[in-house]
Amino acid sequence: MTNKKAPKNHSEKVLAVTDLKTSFFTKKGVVRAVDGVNFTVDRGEIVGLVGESGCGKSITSLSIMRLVPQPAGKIVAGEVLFKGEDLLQKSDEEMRRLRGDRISMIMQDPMVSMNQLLTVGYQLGEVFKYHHPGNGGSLRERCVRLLEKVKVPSPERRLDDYPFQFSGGMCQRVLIGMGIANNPDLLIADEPTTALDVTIQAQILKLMKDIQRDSGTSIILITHDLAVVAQICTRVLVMYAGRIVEQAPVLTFYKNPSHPYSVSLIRSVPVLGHRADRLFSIGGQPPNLSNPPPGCRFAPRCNKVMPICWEKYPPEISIAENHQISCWLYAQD
Amino acid sequence: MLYIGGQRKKNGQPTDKRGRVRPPYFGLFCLALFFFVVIFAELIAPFDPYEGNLQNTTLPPCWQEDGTTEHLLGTDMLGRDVLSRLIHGSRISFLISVGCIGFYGTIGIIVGLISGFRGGRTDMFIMRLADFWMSLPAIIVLFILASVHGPSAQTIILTFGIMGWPNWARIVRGETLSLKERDFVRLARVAGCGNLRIMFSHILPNVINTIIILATIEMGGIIVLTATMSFLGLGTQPPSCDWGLMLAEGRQYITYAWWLVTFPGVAIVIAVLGFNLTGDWIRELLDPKQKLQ
Amino acid sequence: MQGFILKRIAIALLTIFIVLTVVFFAFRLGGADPVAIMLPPNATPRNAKVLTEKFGLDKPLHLQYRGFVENVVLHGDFGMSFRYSEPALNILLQRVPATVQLGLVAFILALVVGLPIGIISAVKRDSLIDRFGRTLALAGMSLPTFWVGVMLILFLGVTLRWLPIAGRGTPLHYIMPAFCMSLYPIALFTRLSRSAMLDALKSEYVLMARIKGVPEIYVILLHAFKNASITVVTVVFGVFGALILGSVVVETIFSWPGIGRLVMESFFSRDYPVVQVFVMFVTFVVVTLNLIVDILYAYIDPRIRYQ
Repeated sequence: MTNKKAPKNHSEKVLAVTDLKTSFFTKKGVVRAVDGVNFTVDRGEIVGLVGESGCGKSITSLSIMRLVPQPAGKIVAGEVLFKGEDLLQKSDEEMRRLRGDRISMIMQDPMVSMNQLLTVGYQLGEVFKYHHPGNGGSLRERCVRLLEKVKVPSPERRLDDYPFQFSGGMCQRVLIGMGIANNPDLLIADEPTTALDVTIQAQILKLMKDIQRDSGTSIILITHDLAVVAQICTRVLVMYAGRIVEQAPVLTFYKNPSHPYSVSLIRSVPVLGHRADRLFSIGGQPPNLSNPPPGCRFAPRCNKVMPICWEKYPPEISIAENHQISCWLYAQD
Repeated sequence: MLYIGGQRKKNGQPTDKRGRVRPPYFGLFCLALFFFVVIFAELIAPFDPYEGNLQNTTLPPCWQEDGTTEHLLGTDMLGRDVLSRLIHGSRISFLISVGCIGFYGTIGIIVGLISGFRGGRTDMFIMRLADFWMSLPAIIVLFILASVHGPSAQTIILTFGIMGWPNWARIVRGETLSLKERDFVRLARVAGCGNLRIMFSHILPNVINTIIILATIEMGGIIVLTATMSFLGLGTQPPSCDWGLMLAEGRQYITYAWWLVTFPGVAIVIAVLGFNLTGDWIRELLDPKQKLQ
Repeated sequence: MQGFILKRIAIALLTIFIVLTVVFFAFRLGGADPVAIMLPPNATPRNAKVLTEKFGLDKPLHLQYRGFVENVVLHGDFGMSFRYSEPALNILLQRVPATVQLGLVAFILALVVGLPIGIISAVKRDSLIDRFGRTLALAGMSLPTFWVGVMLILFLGVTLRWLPIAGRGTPLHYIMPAFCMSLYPIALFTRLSRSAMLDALKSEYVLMARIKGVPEIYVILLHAFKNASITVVTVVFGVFGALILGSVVVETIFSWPGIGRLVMESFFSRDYPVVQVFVMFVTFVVVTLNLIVDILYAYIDPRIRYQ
């Protein structure tokens, strides 16, 4: 295992999210996809954001970028401080200038994220063209260097190819290239390895670790795969039904998972060499986000549920240094 | 047959507060009016549409000077009551249009079912044929048929029958393809049902929704097209009171009998709006996943 | 790419040939006896016989067919017009420019009005332009071309006398006919570009472009529209078919001296060679259009080229 300690030379917070709420206004009601999310990201950290499908992880990242799908989606409350400035107050043009330059994102399926009618070189060049044109050589040279950085072979030739001529793994590297081109302060990676095979997965993760080490870029890694988290993250945020239920440094999380949901998640990962008669899975379904219950949202599926869990939502408290949790098991009433 | 083309998304619809699509009241009214007139034509038409009183030719509508309340919308060049002709004309429009859709629709459904069901080479061949067929403009077939067979209502129906099936065939084939793999079809096979039976008793009923939407949407366009063909003289012949024909006959008198060309057009527009607006709404209701064009 | 084009050309030629054959057999067997049409009422059977032999109409059918095809393919000879006693093809070609001019104006009008409205409709949903666009599309699909034409003549031509109602000569003559012809195509363009753009704007690659910080105008035009244009190109067939029918209708109403009016006149005076030529001409143009569109596809969408 590599060194997991995040460099603490600048302990400024790159990102500080406070009480973020994003809802979708649909035919069937208002869906509160992100319902009060609080977390921070330090410089140079790799933070893992885990949770099952539909818990709101992707919407959280889109909210930070201010690219929530419209017209149904809308950020209804909260504060997103990026290097001290609230992104939710910025104008569209100011946000556009930040995107691709200081904050960047990589998405899950590389094949659909690329425009099949434009060359890879052109799409790569866009990220330079609209932010720092004329810095450090011609567009083409900079693209070639970028492809070299993400280890795409024969970069010169491949710039003129179209995305459908690339394999999934190569495409993802190109997208990562787009993400890091301008050395952003924050990179959000939304399930970057889910659509790829396991062998490629390892390469991509290593690439991301190298990026963090070389340029000090902070990374938010969104995933539902705990193995991925274990490999490169320094801190873990567990999200459930639109809220964060536990936050801890990664070693602490694996040694001492405290929230019942986190415990179930870890237990769900089958362990090699350990025979079991059936795979563990958490019974039940996540709650309906258009009509969330008043108490803890995990209550129906929790094996340690108590009466108070059904009545009131547990407050977030610290049970150790850097370890926060929202669960009545730990809150002193 | 109207190749509106592409995928149409929902978003052209007015919605109520909860985001559900509100029924098109005006469209439904027009449609209801149209059907009412079609069904009760004999009862509501004040005069016989084919008998003209030569003493009373080209009378203006009742609100103009020289008009009478007997002939609310005036009379034409042979003294026939315009309103009565319009009313009976609705029936003609309706019958011809239904004839067209019935003809090409049936062919399209059968071809689509066969193509989707059999798959493989048959399917590919039929789809290629359909593509090719769709690219030819219907008007040339109309001219050929009209030259050979003489212009008439049957000629129009025949033309549509020949040219209009590919679109329906393609859509029905698509549905058949996806339905073919469903369990209930597999069960039917296991139970020993022959191909024909599966196609018509099992798959077809599930395609009905799509067919209803298609028919409603296309009906408006067919009405316009058949009226156009009659207007040109290639379709229904005098003394029929087809709306397109009425307009053609009235053209000569346009300088002093404006009502002869105005009201038939208004009738067409009302009928077509009824079908178009209602068709869009029905598509909303029955096809939320926008599987159709 | 070469093979692609050659294959398409082969299909095009086959199509033309098939239609030619159908036309021949339909007219020859359809019972319209050309000799009877051409002869004056007081002709004798002997006159009939002379004419029949002259046009080779007494030969066996397959020989007639071969003669017909040879004439068409080798000499471009579709026979003589009964009415004008000149080669039918010439009569048609003389009037083609008039139709093309009107059709082109209508097409450009439809494109220039329909596409932008469709795009803006998609980008700014439920805005004034969107609502206007949807109304326009509904009007184009619900108002019959021939009625609009006659109504325009009634108002602008007869009542107000602002515009000329017949013939062709000044730019003013174009206004009403071109407007009429363009209504339905405008509806097609508006609807299709709107829906294609809506689809494109929801896609992942558009999201990606925004993530990169590409200015919105380029996101719309370069990323979204480029992909939407593939779908929009498919509607060109529908538009073209509409323009053909539109030509026939509009030229009749406005007495425009084009092939639309020609074919109607020829049909009613039973001048069938001209009707035949019209059918073949339209087929030829449609087939060529198909070919061009296919090649255009390959140009826009590199995936097709690389197959």
